[in-house]
Amino acid sequence: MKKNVFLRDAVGRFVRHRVAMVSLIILVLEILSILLLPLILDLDPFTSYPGQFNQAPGNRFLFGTDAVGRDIFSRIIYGGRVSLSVGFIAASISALIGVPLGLIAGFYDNGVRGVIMRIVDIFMSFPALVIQMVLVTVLGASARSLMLVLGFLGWTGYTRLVYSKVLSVKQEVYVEAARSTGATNLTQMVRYILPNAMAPVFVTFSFAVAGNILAESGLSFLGLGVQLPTPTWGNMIRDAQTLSTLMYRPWMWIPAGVVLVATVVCINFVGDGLRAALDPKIKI
Amino acid sequence: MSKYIIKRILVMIPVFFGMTALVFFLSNMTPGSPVDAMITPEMSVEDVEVLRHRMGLDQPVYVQYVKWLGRMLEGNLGNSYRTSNPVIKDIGERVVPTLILTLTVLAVGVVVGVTLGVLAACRPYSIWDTLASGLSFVGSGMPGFFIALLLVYCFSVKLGWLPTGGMYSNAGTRAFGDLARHMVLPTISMAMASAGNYIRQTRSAMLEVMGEEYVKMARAKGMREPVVLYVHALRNALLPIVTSIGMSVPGLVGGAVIIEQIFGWPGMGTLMVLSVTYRDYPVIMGITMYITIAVLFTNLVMDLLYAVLDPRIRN
Repeated sequence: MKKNVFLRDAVGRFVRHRVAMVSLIILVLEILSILLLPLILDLDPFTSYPGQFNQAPGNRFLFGTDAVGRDIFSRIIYGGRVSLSVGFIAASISALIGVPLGLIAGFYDNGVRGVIMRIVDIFMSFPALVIQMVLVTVLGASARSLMLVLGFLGWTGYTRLVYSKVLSVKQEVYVEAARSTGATNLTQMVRYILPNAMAPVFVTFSFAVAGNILAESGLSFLGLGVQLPTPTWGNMIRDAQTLSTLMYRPWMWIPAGVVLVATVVCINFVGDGLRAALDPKIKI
Repeated sequence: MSKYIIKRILVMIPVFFGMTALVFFLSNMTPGSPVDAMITPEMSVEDVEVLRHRMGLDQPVYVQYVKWLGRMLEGNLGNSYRTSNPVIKDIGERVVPTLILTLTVLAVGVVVGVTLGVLAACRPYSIWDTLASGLSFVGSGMPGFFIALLLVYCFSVKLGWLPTGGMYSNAGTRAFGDLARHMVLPTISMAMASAGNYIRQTRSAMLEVMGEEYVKMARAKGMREPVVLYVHALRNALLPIVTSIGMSVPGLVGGAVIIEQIFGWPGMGTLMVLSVTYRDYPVIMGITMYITIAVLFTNLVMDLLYAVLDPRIRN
């Protein structure tokens, strides 16, 4: 149990970070309802109910219907599945690329480092949205290509972070001890350095999920992301680009926007709490 | 100092070539070649081959890249598929509106963000601090396009105070007041996120600096609090802000794409969305190159500014 002292302290610090705790509870409830509600209720995000176009919120349709008579509440729930899975999967792809590269760049004190960090510079100088637009056009707009594009463009943050962390961790005595007992470079990196450089990765991961959800909704809002009829929060808000929807039918775009903002803000707060929890130097 | 400048410019060169290569190969990966769009039913297979040869498409990709790079450095970016105008002309018309918008947003974001960040840091856990951190979290969590729609809904649709879009009310007139009225909503929509970012950065930088010995020293010498704050603390706290202004430029440009689209702002962002919809690759590549150069240039300026502010890194 001795190695869990750090973990126990971290959990304690996270629980004491009240905003982060509340955000985490909201997020868990949201994810549960996105996963479970379709199993309990009869939700159908695709069917156009005849004669039920542009219905205001009421008894039959909790959040009303859209311009072609689809149930907005169901679309928000199903849209959440798409938006959140794009966010999580893209952030995971980025981590799988960025963490090993950061580890290598930090460990090897030679040309490899220069090459990796220069590539990071190139990727970071790109206006992300513009490149995402070009790539999504090349690959074809869909949830899957969004995951790939956001994932393969978003790894630089992890690399920079792990790189700078590894630089300090590899000076530690326990790494030197491992090296002097004949541990290979790979063993040193994976067994001794990586676990001690991982903590901030979780913080970056949560901010990356939020960032990816925002990027997905932005692209879908422009009509370049997830395509109709598949709902996402971004392409639901897109309805408001029609002036009459913007003016007279706020139920079509405001609930989707509120859910989107609440989700992203909550994820950011959780990331903030994680940062405070994993870094004992920060006072809450 | 001149050695430092040369070093910074040399570092930019691989970045520049890396980006041009990426842009070129990306647009080469696209399904369908530009020739397909020009083929007419009367053309024979030989005619198509001649066309391919004339456009240089029968050569290896790296040869095409070098030729494209050469033409681009001469300022020749080809013609738009959509309008048949030279790309440089189509983009040229759009540069100024985008510059006006993004520079205003940058200025508003930095001024509001740094001011609120300093206020929050001077009085931690006060109402200012709560307000500033609240704003920074909402600013970073709320996508610009949703803020934009809410603002249009409130101030243009419901209250009728401000126009819903465009740059001028009449095509012919160019009054500054009119321009300013059209800029209020797009600027707020974009500046929220960047102000939020600067609030967080300034606050933590100020808190860090205020614990330093030279700030205690300044206080111990009996200097007035404003002098301590703005002369001794802020100048040093601003250093990381300068870097983050440089790093924020790509994001700002990306935000402009969406916001311009919502407000019908006649800038490069609107052109970008239009070109992507039409798969107008010469224009897409042109805009991407334009933005890349602008971003590299800003980064250089920021690096130099940093060197001016922090004499330690010049050597």
